[in-house]
Amino acid sequence: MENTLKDNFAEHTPLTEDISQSSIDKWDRTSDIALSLLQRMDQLEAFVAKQKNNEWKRKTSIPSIFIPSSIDIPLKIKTTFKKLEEDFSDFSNRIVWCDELKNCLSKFEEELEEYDAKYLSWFVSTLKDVFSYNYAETITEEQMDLLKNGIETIYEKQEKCDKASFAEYHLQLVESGLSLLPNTQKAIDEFGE
Amino acid sequence: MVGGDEAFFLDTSTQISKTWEDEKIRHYLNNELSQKPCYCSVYVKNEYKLKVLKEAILVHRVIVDSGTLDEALSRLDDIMKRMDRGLDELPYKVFRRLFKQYNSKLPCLKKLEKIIESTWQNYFSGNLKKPLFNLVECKSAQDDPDKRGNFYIEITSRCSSDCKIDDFLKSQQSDLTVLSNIDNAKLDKMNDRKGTLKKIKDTSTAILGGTSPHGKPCKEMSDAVISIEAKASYPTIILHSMDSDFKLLGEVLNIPTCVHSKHKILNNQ
Repeated sequence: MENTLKDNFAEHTPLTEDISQSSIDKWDRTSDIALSLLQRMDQLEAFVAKQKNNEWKRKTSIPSIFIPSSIDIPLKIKTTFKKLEEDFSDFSNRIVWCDELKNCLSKFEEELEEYDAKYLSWFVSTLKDVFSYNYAETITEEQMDLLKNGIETIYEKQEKCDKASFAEYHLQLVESGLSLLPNTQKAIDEFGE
Repeated sequence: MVGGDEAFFLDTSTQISKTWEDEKIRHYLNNELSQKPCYCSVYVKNEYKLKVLKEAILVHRVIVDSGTLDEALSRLDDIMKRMDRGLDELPYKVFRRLFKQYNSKLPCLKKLEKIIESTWQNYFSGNLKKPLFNLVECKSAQDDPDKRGNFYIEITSRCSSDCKIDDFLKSQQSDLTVLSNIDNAKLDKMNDRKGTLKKIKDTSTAILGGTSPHGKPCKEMSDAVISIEAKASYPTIILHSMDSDFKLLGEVLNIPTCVHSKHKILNNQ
């Protein structure tokens, strides 16, 4: 009876050794799969990192590869300034051209955000500020000469647009009486108190 | 020492107003200032730098740290109120307008960067005679704005001890004595609402008694230092200010003054 029970038990219950072997086989298979997955994940991570690195290199290398030493400045700024000079004595046209110049310079200032051109951008934004904050009617001929110098600088002397040349030009604008901050009547009228 | 003809010496309040005030006041001031040569000092420049750059850097920092310009403006207004500062105080009033002009953070930050890194100096030195008076050899606010990551490091008012305030005040001891000897009864009659003259009198007395003028005493009597240096540098100078304290100081130190109140300028127009 005892043997029969033992035999029955043995028949339905694998030996401990068999259990271990079976589990190890399963574990081996599972760990093989896991290792394989991990290896693939490592490869994937390495691939992603490489791609990111390439992307970063591509982005950071854009200025040195694609940006020309001289940035193409929209011709419209020059042509509009020319029209302003021609129509300077006609107040209504002067207002139109000053407004147009403000818009052209503002658009170009936004475009410059793509470039590594900090001081050129300072020149452009300062010229834009002149037309944003000063009523066209109040601009004098002496101030127009200064503005002409600024426009010529961004077209013809881009490589000289550094911090020192900007500071020198800005001081001339300040001393000419042009307002470069939003504390003019025009700025208050447009943006409120 | 220069001088002979009358000239204006612009204190910190005039220096700030000539650029940062609204058009009506600026127009009035700049018209007046164009009538005489205008001088200033390194001491005033350092005060100006501290005030304008501290505020510009604070505004820049809060914008960088905020999600939107609206959020930044709300946070800044709260900060100003907590500091007991009016929203229409300069230069904050002008910085507030940038929030109305721009719809996004980037152009606003760029504008502030230009002010912090460069243009504040031109706003200070525009139409001034050179060189700046420098008998005190003030070494306050010497740090240049330094950007770490997206933020500028705050400018500190820390000053080194190698300035010449000690020697300067020794050489101008008679003025210091006049300030120390202001009669209390006269002081009561003067319109010293902020108590500036009383503080200057006490500090002058302490310095004459042997207290070092370096650091806090120098700042406490800064208006007096500015006035005495101006007079010592240019005997026929006229102190130009938007701060009524200078009118009182001018009376005591016998220096001609041209002191304006913003409200009077606006009401007279």
